Amino acid sequence: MINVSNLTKKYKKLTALDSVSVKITEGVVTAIVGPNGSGKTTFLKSILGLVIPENGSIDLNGTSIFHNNDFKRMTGYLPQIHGFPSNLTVKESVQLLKNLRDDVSDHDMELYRKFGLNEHENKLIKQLSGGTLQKLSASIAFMFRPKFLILDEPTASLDPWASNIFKEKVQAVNREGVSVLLTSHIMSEVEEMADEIIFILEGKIRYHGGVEELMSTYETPTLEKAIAGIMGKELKLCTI
Amino acid sequence: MHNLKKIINYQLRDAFRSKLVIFYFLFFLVFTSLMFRFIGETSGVITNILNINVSFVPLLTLLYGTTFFYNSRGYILFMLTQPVRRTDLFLGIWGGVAIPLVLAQLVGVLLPFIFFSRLTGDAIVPLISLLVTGSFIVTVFLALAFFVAVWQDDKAKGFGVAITVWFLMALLYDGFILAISIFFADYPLETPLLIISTLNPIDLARIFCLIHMDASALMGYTGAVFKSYLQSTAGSIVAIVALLLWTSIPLTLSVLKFKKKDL
Amino acid sequence: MIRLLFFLFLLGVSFISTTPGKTLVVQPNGKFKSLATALEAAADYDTIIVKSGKYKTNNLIIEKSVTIIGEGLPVFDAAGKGSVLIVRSSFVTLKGLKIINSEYSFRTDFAGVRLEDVSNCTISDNQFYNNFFGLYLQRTNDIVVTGNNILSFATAQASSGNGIHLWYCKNTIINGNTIAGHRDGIYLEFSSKNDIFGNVAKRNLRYGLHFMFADSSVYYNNKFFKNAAGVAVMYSEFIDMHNNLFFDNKGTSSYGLLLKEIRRSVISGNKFIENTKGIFLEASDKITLKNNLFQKNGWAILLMSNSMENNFERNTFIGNNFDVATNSSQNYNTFTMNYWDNYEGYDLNKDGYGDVPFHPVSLFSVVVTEYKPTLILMRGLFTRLLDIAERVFPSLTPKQLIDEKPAMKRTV
Repeated sequence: MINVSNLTKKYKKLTALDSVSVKITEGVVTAIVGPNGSGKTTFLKSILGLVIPENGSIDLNGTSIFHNNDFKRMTGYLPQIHGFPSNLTVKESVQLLKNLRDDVSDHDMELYRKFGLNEHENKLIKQLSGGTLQKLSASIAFMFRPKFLILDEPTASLDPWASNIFKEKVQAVNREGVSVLLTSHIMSEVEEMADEIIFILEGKIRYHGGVEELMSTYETPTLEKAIAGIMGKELKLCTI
Repeated sequence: MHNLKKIINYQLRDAFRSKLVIFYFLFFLVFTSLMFRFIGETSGVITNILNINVSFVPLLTLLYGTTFFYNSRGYILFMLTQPVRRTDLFLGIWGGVAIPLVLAQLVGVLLPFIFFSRLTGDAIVPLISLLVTGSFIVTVFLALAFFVAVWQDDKAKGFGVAITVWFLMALLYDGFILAISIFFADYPLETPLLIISTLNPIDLARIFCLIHMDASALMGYTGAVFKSYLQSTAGSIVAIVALLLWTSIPLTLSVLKFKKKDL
Repeated sequence: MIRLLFFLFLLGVSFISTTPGKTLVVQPNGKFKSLATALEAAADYDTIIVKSGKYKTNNLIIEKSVTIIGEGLPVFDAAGKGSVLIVRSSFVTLKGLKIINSEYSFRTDFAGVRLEDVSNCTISDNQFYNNFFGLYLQRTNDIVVTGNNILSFATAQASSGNGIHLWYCKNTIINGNTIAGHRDGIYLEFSSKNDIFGNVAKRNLRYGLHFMFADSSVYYNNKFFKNAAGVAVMYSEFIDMHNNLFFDNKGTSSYGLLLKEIRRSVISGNKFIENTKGIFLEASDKITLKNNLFQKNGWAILLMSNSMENNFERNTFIGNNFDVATNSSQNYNTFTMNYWDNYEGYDLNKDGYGDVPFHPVSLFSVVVTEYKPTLILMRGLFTRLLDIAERVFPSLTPKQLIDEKPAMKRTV
């Protein structure tokens, strides 16, 4: 279980995370939502070890995840923007990641095959379209059979067909016990995929709990309206 | 260490397909060949390449290094979510840029020398000092480029700083030495100037080359200290160590910063 | 050529004049055990053959017109006391001897061989080894010095002597000698009408060849290398300097050729290669320098402000750090039809000469001449930009010092 306690991160004067504490439930799909600049990217990057907080800790079963390669080995990450050198081929990019893990065990190549990436194997990264790159990034997130899956705006540049395959894959691994942490702007998608929600606003967690509970609390049929409800209560002013 | 090698390995594959590295190689190949065609004489050719090494090469490597680092943000971000130490990643990226540029320059210069000159005994020492100092100019200014890029997140500001660094070291520093030589003309200046020059990698590389090549005739004029110092084995070792420090200090400071950097 | 014929004639004269005399033989176990005893028995025009051996000889004075010929290189050793041989008679020939270890002194100019107030002597094919002065000529006429090898081991200028020293000498022929390790290789003072050719002077502490008040002399086909300076010509007129090689004379005050108060002389067909300064001209006028090659020198030509009306014509400048430097902003010398490898002009009318003039003096060379240590800035970007700026707007370099007709191809 990932345990975040008293996490504080400031960028110069701006406080991105203000003493955040939360326990991320194991084995469920948790969506992190919040408006732009709310601190959700910082929160995700903290868990990934990309930003270094002023204060607080993030533990996995009692062990800090900072500079912790064991944690990284268990984590699959889908970034918003791809991160491959532009003059490598698809095959080489995958090979690099495999090499870094000294990984000889069987890899989960299901998405890779379903997305038809085999056909692009010998193309250079710079020759691929944005959609194909997103498919490559997505299939790599699952490739090393992670225990945690961190997905940053996962379906943003996927076509509906690929998006559907992807969502099915998320649900499939989740059923096998993989914890999933995702961000999304699309509330219908969150409603569809997530079991729990962490709502962040102005560097603080305003809600953490089940999606269904949230909707029933605010007595609305859609998550969007429920979120708007929290924001109305917290802010009086709402912009999502 | 293990991962560092792997990262460099893939960075090299990337770099050898990069247009700039190929351009850089072809530039030296064509330039050196043309010099042989039009000047003919080995020492003249070496002098002209030295001119490039102390002006164009520092500027190009500074700009290329900073650009490369800024453009690698996505790669750096993603790689850090993989089981890789930050130090390995940073040095891997740096090595992946430095090695191809050094090789491109070495081979680009060396091939025409093999084809067009007889490489007689007295051409070997100047050529080696040219190649060694040329390689160091690349590593030093790539280290400085990465240093600038790690400390300055803003791309435009980073370029500004890089160009300023070049301007200071390639140009202004020599103006400063000239001013000292004129203001303090009545004092013995050889040793102080030698120390001041050692503090600038471009000057150090240039003087090291001069003393091993065409200007050795001139150096008899005033350069008793320079000559006996830099032509001796101990002097050469000091010069090489100074250039190594010029590479490793900015690199070490960059790694320290990079380890604590938010991405 | 005339002088060469004269030299052959002299050889002939000495040959003819020796034939009537008798021949004496000096050898360690023979009738004459030393040159001194043989000389006592000899008359003018006799020949003394000295067989191989070691002969201790101090200040032996030769006062008869004899021919002394060594067979198997007999050694005359002063063992550090006085001179070896002193010639005080004309028509003396010394040939094939090895003359060693004359005394080093601060007061007296001891030498391997001294010639004092004589004429028509020949010193040929001898080996001079570890002498203070090698060969010392004093008030002589018509002496031939040829094919000698003169080697010593001087370490300091003050305590060393010259290889061949001429003082008030006329019509000397110095040819085919090799002189090394002395103060000056060949030194001429108050000596005129001398021919010096085909010699090699190397590793001498001061000059390879040194003229002081020595008018109307000629030197050609000599090689001067690794001396502190190749040749110094001072206070003389009408010196012809042709086809010599000045090579690798390096040091703080090193020159290929140093000219000081020289007038009306000609310097042509010489090669100046890898010297700190090729030619240094100081207070020298009306000199013609043509068809010389200046290659890879620090400075090819240093032209001091008090030199005027010199003419630099059809010389070739290649790979020098500085072509011409001067301490003056004026110029009263002419440069024309020289080839400069630094010339970047063009020849549109195809007459073989560039259409725009060449400025051989760079700003940096002026700065370095004034402020020595700035030399370490050479080939830096900064100094190169300064030079370009100066070429566009000349301010410190002499505007008149230009080659109006720079050659497009090498002249030499």
